[in-house]
Order: sequence, then C-alpha cells, then structure tokens
Amino acid sequence: MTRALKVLLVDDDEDLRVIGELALTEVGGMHTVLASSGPMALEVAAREQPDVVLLDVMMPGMDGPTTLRRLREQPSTAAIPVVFVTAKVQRQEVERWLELGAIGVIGKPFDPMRLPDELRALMARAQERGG
Amino acid sequence: MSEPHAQDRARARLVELRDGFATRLGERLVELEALIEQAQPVEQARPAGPGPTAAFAEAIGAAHRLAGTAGSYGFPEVGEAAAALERALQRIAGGPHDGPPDGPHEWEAVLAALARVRAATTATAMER
Repeated sequence: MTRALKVLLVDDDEDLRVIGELALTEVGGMHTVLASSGPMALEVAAREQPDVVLLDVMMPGMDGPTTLRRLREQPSTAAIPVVFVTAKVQRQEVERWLELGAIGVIGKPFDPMRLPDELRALMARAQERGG
Repeated sequence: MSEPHAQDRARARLVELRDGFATRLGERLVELEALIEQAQPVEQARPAGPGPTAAFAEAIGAAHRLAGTAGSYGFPEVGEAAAALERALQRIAGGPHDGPPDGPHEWEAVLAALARVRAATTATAMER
C-alpha cells in the first residue's frame, strides 16, 4: 500500500480550509495539514514536510507569492512543490505563477470532488518535466 | 483515490457542510456590508498616495474570500456576484488618487455589485 500524499493547505478563509480538507482527505485519501496564513505555513511546512503545498495567492499580511519565496529561502522547505490556488487563472496570470516557482495552478472556486485528481495531475506533470 | 464508499461518505459530508455554509451566508453578507459602509468614507477621504486604506483592503479581502468560498461550496451565483464586487472595489483601489475623491459612479458600481451579492444570497436562502 502506498503512503498517502501529505498536503499542506494554506488559506485565510476557514470555510475554504474546511471544504478543502474534506476534498483532500475524504475524497482523495490524502493526509492534510492546514495553515491560515503565510507565516503559519512556513512553520507547518518546516515541521510537517508535506509532499506539496496548496497555497492561496491573496492573503492579508504575507501573500501567497511572498510565502512561496520564503519557503524557497528556508533550506528545510526549499524543495517542497507549491501549487497556487487562485481565481487569477488567465494564461498570462498562470505564466506569472509558474515563473514565481509554482509547479501549477488550481482555479478557485474549485470542485471539491475533483480537487484531489487535479492536484495529482499537476504533480505528475511536474514530475515528468523534472525527469 | 479513496474507496467508493468513502466517496459516498464524502458526498454526504459535503451536503452537510454546504447546508452549514448556506446558513452562514447571511452573516457573511452583513459583515461585508458593514466593512464597505465603514470603508467608503475613509477611502473617499484618502489623500494622494499608493494603495487603499486598511479598511478598504479589508473589504476587498472579504469580497475575495466570499467569491472563492461560495463557488467552492456550490453557490456559483453568490461567488460570481462577490467576484464582480471584488473587481468593482479593486477598480477604486487601483484608481488614481491625485486629488479629487473617487467619482460617485465608481461607488455606484460597488453598491450595485453589493446589491447583486445580496440578491444572490437571498435567492440561495429562499431555495433552501
């Protein structure tokens, strides 16, 4: 039996965290850890060493792009793949998120029944690109 | 992927969460209206300079959160109305602030978008 994927879900909206956790854990069979802000995400990522971070872009204080940069600066979290979750999914916007270092983007709002498959597909594509 | 019965459990749990979210939609609307009401005079009095006031940024954040969350809970009309409200607020936040306050038509657009959020929320409540 393969180990369940461990996902860190970062979003400042509690309702979004609740439905995201349901989607990842109960629909996707993944192990989910949560953070409600950028600074909390840095702590949880260092401690939990998730396989991937699902990161909200627009958060008060430390936003998603800044959080991603800080994750890359911490040696213990530098290699953890990050997927942005955002309403900004026009082609140019997606290109910008990828340039910042995300492996992919999931549109918000999302379908909770499909979220795990979307995440797995992005991770598989990133692995293919990485060889 | 989880087993089929786990998927059924997830669907049932999703229905419960959706019901809970629907009952809280009214509260979120009241909070959003209050934030905009508080932010409007402060923002309109803002002198020239970069970026919106903290109160106005909070209102934008609340509209943004509602847009993303309502749609994910299966209330696309509320989510789309909130997204339109966020865009209307962002237009003011990103607009020129080199003297005169924001034009009344910009705030009319915000209030019209807010009315759309209210109507979508009310319609959701009536459907349940």
